[in-house]
Amino acid sequence: METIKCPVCGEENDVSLSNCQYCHQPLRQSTSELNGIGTLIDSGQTPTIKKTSELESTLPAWLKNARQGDRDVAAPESPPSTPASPSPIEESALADAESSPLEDWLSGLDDDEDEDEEAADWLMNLQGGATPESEEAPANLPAADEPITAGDKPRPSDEEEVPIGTGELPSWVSDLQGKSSSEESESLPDLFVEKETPQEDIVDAGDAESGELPDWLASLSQSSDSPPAPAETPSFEPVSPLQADSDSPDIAADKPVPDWMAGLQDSSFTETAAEEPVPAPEIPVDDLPDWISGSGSAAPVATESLGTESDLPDWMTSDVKNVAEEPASESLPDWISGSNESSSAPVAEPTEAPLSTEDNLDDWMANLNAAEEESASAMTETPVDEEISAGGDLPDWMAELKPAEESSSAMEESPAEEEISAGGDLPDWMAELKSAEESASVEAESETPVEGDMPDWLSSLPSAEDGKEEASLLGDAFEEQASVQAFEAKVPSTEEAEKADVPDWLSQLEPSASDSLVEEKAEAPAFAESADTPDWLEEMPAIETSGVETAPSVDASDSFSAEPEADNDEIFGIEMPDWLSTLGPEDADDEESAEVVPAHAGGEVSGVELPSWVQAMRPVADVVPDSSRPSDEQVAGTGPLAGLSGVLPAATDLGQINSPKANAIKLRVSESQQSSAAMLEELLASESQPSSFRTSVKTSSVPIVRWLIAILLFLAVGSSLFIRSEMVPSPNIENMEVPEIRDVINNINEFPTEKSVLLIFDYEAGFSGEMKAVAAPLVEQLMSRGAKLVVISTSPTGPALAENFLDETQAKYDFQPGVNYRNLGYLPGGASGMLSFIANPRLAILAKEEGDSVWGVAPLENITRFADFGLVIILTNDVEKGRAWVEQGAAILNDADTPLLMAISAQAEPILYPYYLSGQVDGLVSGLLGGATYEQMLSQRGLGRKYWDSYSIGLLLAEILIVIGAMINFLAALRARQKRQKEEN
Amino acid sequence: MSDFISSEFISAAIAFLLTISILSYLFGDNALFRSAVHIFVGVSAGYVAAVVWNQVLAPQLFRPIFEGAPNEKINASIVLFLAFLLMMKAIPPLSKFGTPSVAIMVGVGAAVAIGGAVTGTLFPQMMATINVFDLQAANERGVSSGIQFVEGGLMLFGTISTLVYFQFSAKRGDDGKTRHNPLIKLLVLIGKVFIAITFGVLFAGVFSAALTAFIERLDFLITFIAP
Repeated sequence: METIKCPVCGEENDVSLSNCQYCHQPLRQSTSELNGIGTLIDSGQTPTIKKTSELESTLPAWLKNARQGDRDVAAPESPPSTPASPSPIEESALADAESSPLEDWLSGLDDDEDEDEEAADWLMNLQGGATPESEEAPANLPAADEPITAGDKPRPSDEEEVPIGTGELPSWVSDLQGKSSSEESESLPDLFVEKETPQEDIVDAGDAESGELPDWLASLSQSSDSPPAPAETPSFEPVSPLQADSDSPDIAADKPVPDWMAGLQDSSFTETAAEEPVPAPEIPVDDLPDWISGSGSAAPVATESLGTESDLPDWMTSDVKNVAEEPASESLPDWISGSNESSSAPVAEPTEAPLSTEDNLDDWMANLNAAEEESASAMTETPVDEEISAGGDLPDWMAELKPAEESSSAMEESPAEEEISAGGDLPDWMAELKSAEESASVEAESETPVEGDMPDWLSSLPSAEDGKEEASLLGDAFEEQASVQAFEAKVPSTEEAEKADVPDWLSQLEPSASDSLVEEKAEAPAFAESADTPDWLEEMPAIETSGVETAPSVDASDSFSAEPEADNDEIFGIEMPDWLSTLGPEDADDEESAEVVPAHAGGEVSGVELPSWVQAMRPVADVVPDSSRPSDEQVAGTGPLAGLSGVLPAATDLGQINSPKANAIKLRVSESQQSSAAMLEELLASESQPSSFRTSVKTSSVPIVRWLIAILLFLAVGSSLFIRSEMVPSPNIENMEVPEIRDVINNINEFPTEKSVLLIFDYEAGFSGEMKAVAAPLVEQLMSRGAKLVVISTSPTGPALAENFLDETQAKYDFQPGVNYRNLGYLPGGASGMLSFIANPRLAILAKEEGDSVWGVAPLENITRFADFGLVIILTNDVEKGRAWVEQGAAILNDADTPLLMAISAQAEPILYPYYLSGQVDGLVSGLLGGATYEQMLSQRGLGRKYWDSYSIGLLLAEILIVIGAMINFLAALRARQKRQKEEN
Repeated sequence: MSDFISSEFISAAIAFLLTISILSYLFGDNALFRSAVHIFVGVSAGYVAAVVWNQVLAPQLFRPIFEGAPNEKINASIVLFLAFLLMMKAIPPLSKFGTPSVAIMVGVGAAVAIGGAVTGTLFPQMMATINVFDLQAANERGVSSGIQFVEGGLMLFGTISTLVYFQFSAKRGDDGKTRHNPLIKLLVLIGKVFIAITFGVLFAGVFSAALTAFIERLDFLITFIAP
């Protein structure tokens, strides 16, 4: 049975189960559960904000504990945070604030406190680099224009005199350090508009790029801008090598703080204060992460681009229009509106424009705004009017904070702050903390830049936990106003911060920070003191104000970690990484911190979504399989992708692979097929084997054997011819049965002489010598009987051969053509001509002689049909012609009782002799032997006898040569066989 | 002197030279041999053409057309037309027009050949083989019945064995090899003997014919040289 290991408790569960049977946690967690949608982020794709409440289960335990602590503390302390007599508007605003999603960013974190292990590795890794809190950006905030991607490398600033150890810093952090705030001013949300300070003239707007900083980071810049926060701004100034070192992990070497974080602290605490302030940094904000750049620039918010309403979102523009009609405090929470009211009176004219956007602000934001306005009214000059008017993109809460910033900027508006404010990508909560820090610790907060590199809650933790320690680390340098001024001089304009996408939850922190500033500088905004202010917000300034000045970052942690210090120790000391445990609010007041938490806890914190930059750092779709696909996804239990489903299922799949079915390899082949195959194989093998090349017997150019045989024949035959000897006796007709010859003789002797004899000369010229010897005695017998001959031939040369035959053999009879014999000539048509002639001789032969038909003259005058011939004699050497004549005419002749005789060559005898045996042919004379026999029988001396000796010698010689040749071949074969046997042996 | 210039002598001299030229092939292909062959072919072709014109075309085709009776003209015209179509076979684009003539020739020739073979060879030869065992007829001819029976049996056995030899059909065994009945194998073997004897007879006849022709030519040469 296949099991799956629970990513939470590690117990084995059945695969079919969806939740762990032990811990009831989901066994499979797909990427769709992580991002809430299921779609993957491709490379280069701008991540979209998504609900990341599902990720709450993946939060580390220490963070969950922190959140749980917040809730626990907030529950009993929340009532005091409410105003004593809230107005109806304030009540509604407070209710909105509590139910606002701005406060819900960590709402679900307490649900899964023990699910550290469920967090994906990549997300776990972010704890050290980007802090898990940064992932919990407010859901309602727009994503940064240029989200940080995991593949981005740190881009060191041009102004960095001392290169920052990028290897120690996360690349995306180093990239974002140099961001200019001015470039990001155009896209700053509206909330920054209200926080804009009259620092445009000192803002190096060209260094910042709009839209790079997240809101929360932008809020940090604002917070650093509003109060006299020069101490924390220098840390964000990357120009100075000290600042660069601040980004390096040198801080708190004795603590288990990560190097990069430690470096941030060290540099910010020690070196930046000691050195002269460096002019405004030119580090491009692009290189900095949004949240860092935002925190670095802090208060100075770019305002140039905020003045146009066109840049404002729709909801913002509509609010602007409603400003004149409705009081700003109507839509604000009660606690904010209270503060707003207290500060609305002294609002300076330049701040009217941003204040007009308070319609959409929550009450507490409105209070913040009022407080800021009050602080702003105390300032000598505030060019905020321009900035605020341009701050169309600022979130509302930032807009509200702007007066506070202005109040702080009255102290000094350093370019450093502007730079810090350029970190528009800072999370809102970060920005709030930043502002809180700035407001709380105006002097000697050079460590804040370091904290700006990390989320506020992180920076606040150590402050709360190790306030004394931090104070020692900070040293006197952080308290020097000169360093503050120097840092402020580097701060870029607040335009960068205006574009920051401040999370809602961070926006809530922002007022608290500003409140702290107000309280400390006796310019406390009304909202800080207002009873409408949420408890946690009220605690935020309390933390910072009561704490050491050098720990402005404590606020953030207090904002959601309302537990007393002991709780923090418990939380961070146990579950938090060491480096994080060292951080925290230094002087966090237990009560205040406890009050802050309920503000969050009281609010129905909804599930958060991953910030855009976190989304960008997630595994892209090319790597992570699409979780929406139904598959047997496996949850990675270990490795960098632990907790993610649908990754690397190879291990289990390989285990599930079944061995293939064993198929019979043996073919079913019958014996016959096997034998055929074997035969074919032998043939193929024999083809491939080189045949032994038989060395042919080299024959000489002179055919000796041929010559030898020819000489022997010439001598044997020629000699007998030449001497004309009769050494060989004639054929013994007495002892030899030659019925065919006898039948011929008898038929010739018996045929009626009044009838014509048809002689068919169908032999070739080459056989004329033989045929003369064969047919001469027969024709002579006919001639002796006075027969009338009719000559015909189916061969063109036949008529001529017939004439030659008669002339040479029958010359003594003096036969005259046309008188004694008639040559009908050539009979065309082959067998058809034969049949035609047999059928009707007169129609077949149309020859004429002297104008008359030959059929009218002797010896043809009596011939009307083929059977009218008294005797038909076929002289042929060709078997086919002789057979054709027999086949076509034998039957007719037999019916007419006309004898059919044949004088044939010796070569045709074996084929035509059966026709004699069958009776189709009445007599047959074949070859020289037949001619000689015929002569012998007729007592003639003709060619037969003349050639008989030669013929006999020639046959004997031939027989001898054949025998000799056969013996030679036999001996040669026998010798070769013996030789082969010897070779084999 | 007059004997030397007689036509017989000239013809005999030409025949002698041509005969010597043909016999020169004993030394391989040579000019004399080729010359004699060419002369023979040329003379034969000319003679055949003359014979065909004088004995076929003129008397049987053109003369009936010009001088014959109307029916002869019609018949001759039909033959001429078919002959003209047959000549179209020499021209590829027009060869199809010669198809009818070829069809007539092939059809008629096949019919004549097959008819003659069936009526003149198959049936008579089968009957002859059967009649061998007609002992009464043999007795009438004065042939002993026993001898006739043996002769007939031998002839029958030889015929059957020879025909069995040409029967190549056989059963295929499980191993894929053809298997013959042992009796069939024996008949095939006997048939081989008969066929070998037949081939020997044929070779002897051919050799006898060739030897006779050689003797005749050699006699001619001897007679020409030493009459």
